Amino acid sequence: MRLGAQLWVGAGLTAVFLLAALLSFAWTPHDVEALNIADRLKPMGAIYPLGTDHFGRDILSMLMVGARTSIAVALVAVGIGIGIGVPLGLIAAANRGSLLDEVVMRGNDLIFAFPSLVIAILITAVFGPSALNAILAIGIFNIPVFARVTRGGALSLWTLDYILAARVAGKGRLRISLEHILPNITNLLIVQGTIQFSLGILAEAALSYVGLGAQPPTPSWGRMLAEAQTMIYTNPALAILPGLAIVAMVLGLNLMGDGLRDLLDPRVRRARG
Amino acid sequence: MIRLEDLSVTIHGAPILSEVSLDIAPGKVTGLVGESGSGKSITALAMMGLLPHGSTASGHAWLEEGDVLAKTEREMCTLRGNRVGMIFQEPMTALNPLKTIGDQVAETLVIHGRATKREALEIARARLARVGLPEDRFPLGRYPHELSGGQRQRVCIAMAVALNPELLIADEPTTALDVTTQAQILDLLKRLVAEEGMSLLLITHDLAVVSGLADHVAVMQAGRIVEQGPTEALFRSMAHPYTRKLFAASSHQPARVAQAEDVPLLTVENAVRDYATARLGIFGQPGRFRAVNGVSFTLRRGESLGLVGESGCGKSTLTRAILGLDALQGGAIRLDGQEIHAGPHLDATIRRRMQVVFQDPYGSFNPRWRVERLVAEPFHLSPEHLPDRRDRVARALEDVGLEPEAMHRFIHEFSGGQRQRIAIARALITNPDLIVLDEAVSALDVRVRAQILDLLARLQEEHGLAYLFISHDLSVVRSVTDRVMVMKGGEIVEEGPTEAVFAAPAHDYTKALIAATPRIPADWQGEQNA
Repeated sequence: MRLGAQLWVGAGLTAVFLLAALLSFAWTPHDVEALNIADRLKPMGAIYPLGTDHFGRDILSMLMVGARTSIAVALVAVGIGIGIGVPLGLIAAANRGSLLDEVVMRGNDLIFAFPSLVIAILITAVFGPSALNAILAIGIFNIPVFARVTRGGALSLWTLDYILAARVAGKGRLRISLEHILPNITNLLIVQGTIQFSLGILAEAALSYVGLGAQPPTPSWGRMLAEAQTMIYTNPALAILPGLAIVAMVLGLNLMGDGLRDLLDPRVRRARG
Repeated sequence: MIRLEDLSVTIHGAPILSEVSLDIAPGKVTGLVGESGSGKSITALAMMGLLPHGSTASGHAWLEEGDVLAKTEREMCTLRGNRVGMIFQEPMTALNPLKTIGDQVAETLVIHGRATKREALEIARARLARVGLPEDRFPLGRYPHELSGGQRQRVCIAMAVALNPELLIADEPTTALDVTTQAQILDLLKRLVAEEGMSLLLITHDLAVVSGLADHVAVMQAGRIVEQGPTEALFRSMAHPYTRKLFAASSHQPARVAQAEDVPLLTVENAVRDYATARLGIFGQPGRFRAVNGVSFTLRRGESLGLVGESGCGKSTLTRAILGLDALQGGAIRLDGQEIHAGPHLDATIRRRMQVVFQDPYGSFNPRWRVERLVAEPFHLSPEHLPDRRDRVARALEDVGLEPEAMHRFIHEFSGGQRQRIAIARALITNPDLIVLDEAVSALDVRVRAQILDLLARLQEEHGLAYLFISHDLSVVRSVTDRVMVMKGGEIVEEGPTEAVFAAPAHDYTKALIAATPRIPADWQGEQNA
């Protein structure tokens, strides 16, 4: 795929969901919490553009609010990962080979050693299912990912002459990390961020699907899927629509991540000519 | 053997080569000389049919079988390696680290269907012995990381000549190597050409290398061959002004006056620096490697001191210790009587009096900063915020011959030579007493190098700077230093006034270094100077 097209398709898909989520704060076609049994399981039509579910709630409205939930959970989880993982990675790289480096990186290995979704289920099961606990559970597993990416990127930068020049100028490790290293690994972080964002959406959907994410009546794509599965033969649209939403959002983010990587990486850009 | 006829190449519409015509005679060495960006490598790639994407070529490259440019990729595959071999500048990356040297040499033979695997390994064995890697010391099962740079380049040569190609293209084959290794590799290439009747196209920026090896020389400038002819005749006549300029630059002697005062500025006493090496076994103790072993010297105020040695001799380690980047295990380094301790606790006033310029003009700058911030970085040490920061940056840039407006631009907008000027401006900004020049001109083209050397000489005079000039290039050290030290195996083996050391080297190693340096025969230059 051409460099531009990939980025624009990805950014476009992502933008659609972001706008839908933002719009849902101000307006949705119908109230998502109002039950209207008389209009249950309506097919797509003028009043209900995408139909209604078994409680008569408007699917389109639920998808819009659900996007909000998914995005919020994934965003905060990525924020936790970046907020804690990046400083850890920078510290580890600045003190390469030291005990501190070992502690940070072996701690990462420890978290990596656990199957993330299972632990997330454990956490939400112990502390009670809620969107907040889902965020925490997903966020914790983002920390080692960002710590590793940061350390890897930073280590190769630390060998460059301009870092040496900064050290000759008398700058300390902290200052070099903030002034020289961090700005030069933002590309890496942006790309990893979009990937983790899409994984966060998948994880949120999975937790909600098993009933451990956002609790009713807050709509969530994962729970919409779970509720639809009993009616999959009679009303397949109920399962297909939230499923499509998840797929499209994740695809959009991944395409955007790839596109950004190519756009931000001067080596790739040059190779493509 | 191969004849280029009006070869022109454009890449994305930009002309790279224009009407290059060159005859490469069988059994002879043809030298192709020029600065970086002159189109030397593209010429070679065009012959191999390996032009980068987006290029269009016109003209002809005649081989016995016909025009190379008209051949399909499939036809070219049978040609490459088979009829035409190629070796590159960087032996460190030209070999696959996961395959043994025997397999890599044998691979060419198997791919071209010349031999079965077993026969190919036998031929590889013979080939490796031929390039100076005998069986008993270098079995086929060796991996590239077990070999030195020069040995790897030998493996590359063995691969390139495995099928007895008629033409070997060597693109800067010795630029990444030390002088003594360079002499050995050049010697090997010469022998191969003489004994196998192969043609060699030697691409280099170094006139001295060409003068010692080539039968025929072509000088290239901006995609054109401006002059070509038999080597000796070309060197004697130098009809084209560009050839003369190149020649003058390569033997350039900056005008400088010795201005060393008899006051010690930097003293190094018995410096010792150890590195831990890999553990032997899981429970073994890590070994120690002594990179700098009891080095002592004094650098006087305003003096230019050269430090010469091959890679791995410890000169970089010593530099890092002097700059206070790494701690010593023994001995002391003092700047004007104050001891230099490694680490962040080094006194800011000492730091400010000592600056450095590195070799690589591309890796020396944060690509996201503008020049103003880059040049002003050493000000970080000044306790107060300087209101005239911008003026000082402007003055430093003017000092190194750049417009003050350059401060608003990013580093990628500058050429290699300009970047090295900016690096010098960054070193000058704190008015240091000492600038460490760590191979500061090694990555530059000869003409740019001559300009930078002139600049350094002028700055030394104007600012009373002392230089510690670290280089593996003897001719450069000879032209810009008052005294020189020769380093080998972590120790200084010889030290003395530059001219005296070069005229009458006392240590065997110094003698070997000087003998290995390629030189243009003195009597070829007569007509120029007359």
